[in-house]
Order: sequence, then structure tokens, then C-alpha cells
Amino acid sequence: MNRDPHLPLTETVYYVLMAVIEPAHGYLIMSRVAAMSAGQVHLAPGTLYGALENLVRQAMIVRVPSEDPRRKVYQITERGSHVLAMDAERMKHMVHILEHRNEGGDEQ
Amino acid sequence: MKKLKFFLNFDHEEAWLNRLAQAGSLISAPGPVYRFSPIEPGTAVVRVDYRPAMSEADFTDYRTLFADAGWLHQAGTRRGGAQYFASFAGEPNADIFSDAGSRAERYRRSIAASSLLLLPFLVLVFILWTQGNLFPAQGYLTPGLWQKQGLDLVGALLFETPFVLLRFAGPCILLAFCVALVIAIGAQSQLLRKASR
Repeated sequence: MNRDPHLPLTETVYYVLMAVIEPAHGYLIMSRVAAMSAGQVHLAPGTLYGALENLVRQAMIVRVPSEDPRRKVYQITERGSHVLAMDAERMKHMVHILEHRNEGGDEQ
Repeated sequence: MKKLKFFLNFDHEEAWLNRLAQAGSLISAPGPVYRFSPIEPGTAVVRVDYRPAMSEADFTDYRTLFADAGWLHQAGTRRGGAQYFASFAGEPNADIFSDAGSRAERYRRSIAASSLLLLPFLVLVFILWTQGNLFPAQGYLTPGLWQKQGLDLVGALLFETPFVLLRFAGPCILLAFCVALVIAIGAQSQLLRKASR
């Protein structure tokens, strides 16, 4: 079965997608990512700006109307949600096989 | 204060701007004729981004994102090109990029802009070349010039050369411009490859 070409997602993309499940503008995305990753992933503005452009181009996020004329607001799309879910499945599998490597099954 | 300088390497440009900022001069207008305004020495860190042209609204959104993150826009316009930001938070290693990949993408955008600029001029150069109007050697019009001998030839050449140079000055400048752009694109492609490794 062919894997979605977007997988595996980078850490940055995974967290940005998570950060826009609820609509958010740039700086809010940065704050949410820092909080969710417990300080592990720090997004600088130049990097984030490029990432947002790419995700819009790939139709994984979309711009939504915002009350603040100075800040664009983004939200995840159906496609983005789907890709996020698939990547989570991928990682769940990887964690599972590591944690259960000594149980039953064939020894290779 | 004004300084004239050309950079193809963004890291070198940042290093130069930061040395000046450490010494008390903060960039206020982009190059090649950079302008600076005085600041408290050692308080600012300068970083460079490169962006294509954007609408007024997009440009505001762009600068606001950086401002929210503590980076104040110092120089550069929405017409595109290098954009200069300064942080006053006292962190000497502060950067507007948090990974090498996005840092390297600046070169890709700069190459795209240079290539777009180069295209029409390249077409022009090609047309001039096929018309025989590009290289001065093609343009000596004195009848029977190349059949002359010795002093006669030298004299005739000396006489016509100023006129030829005048007529070909334009195309020569155009050609030099195209060559400069091609060199710039080549150099930045190398830098992009190195920075992306």
C-alpha cells in the first residue's frame, strides 16, 4: 500500500498542524507549539513563516477570516487532519513495536 | 552614515551588520548603499531574510509576526528583496530561523528573483547578438577598413573606435549586467547547496 508522500512529517510540521486545529495567528502558533512540545520545539518567525506558506500551498492548512487586520489566521483542513492522523498512526506503530519487542512472535 | 557594499552570502552580510551594530550603528536602509542610525552599542542583533514581492496586507502580516516574536523590521520594502530585523532582547545568538533548512531557503528565493530579472535581459542580449549589434568587433563600418595596411589601418581604427564604443556602450553594459546576474545566481546556488547539507 502506498504511503502518503507527506509522511513522515517533520516535528515542526506536526506541531504546527496541531497548533491550528483551533484557528490561530502566527505568534499564537509559536506559543502553542512551545507549550505542547514542553519547550522541545522552538519556532523562530522566519522558519514559521516559510512553514505556513508551504502548508497553505499543500492545502493542509487554510487561511480563515480574522478580526485582526494585521495578523493572518490559519486553521487545519480536512486533508491536514487526515495527514496528522496518519502520522500519529505511524508513530504509534513504531512506539508499539519498540515497547513490545521482547514479547512472543518470531525472533529475527 | 552610508556604506557601499555588495553581498551574495547572507551569513557574511549578517556578520558585517552585527559588527556595525556592536559598534553602535544599526541598519536603517538596505544595500548596496546601506544607511545606518546610531544605537547603544552591543544592544542589537541583526538578521536577514529574503522575500519576494507581497501585497501591503501580506507585508504587514509578515512584519507583525516578527514583531510579536521580538524582531523589529529595520529595512526592506514590500517590493521584495532582503528584509532586515533586529532583536533588542540581549541574546547574542538569537535568530529568525530555528533550523538550517529554512535558513538555506533564503538563497532559493533570491535565486528565483534574480532569474526572473535575468530572463528579459537575456532575450534582449540574444536579439542584439543575432543582429550583430552586441560586440564592437562586428561594428566597424568604414568601407574597406580591413584591407588597409600599416599606418593607414592603425589610423582608420583609431579614428572609428570612439564612435564604435559610443554605439556599443549600451549593449556592452547590458551584457555586463547579464553576466553579473549569472555569476550571482551561480554563486548563490553553490551557497544554497552548502547550506542545505
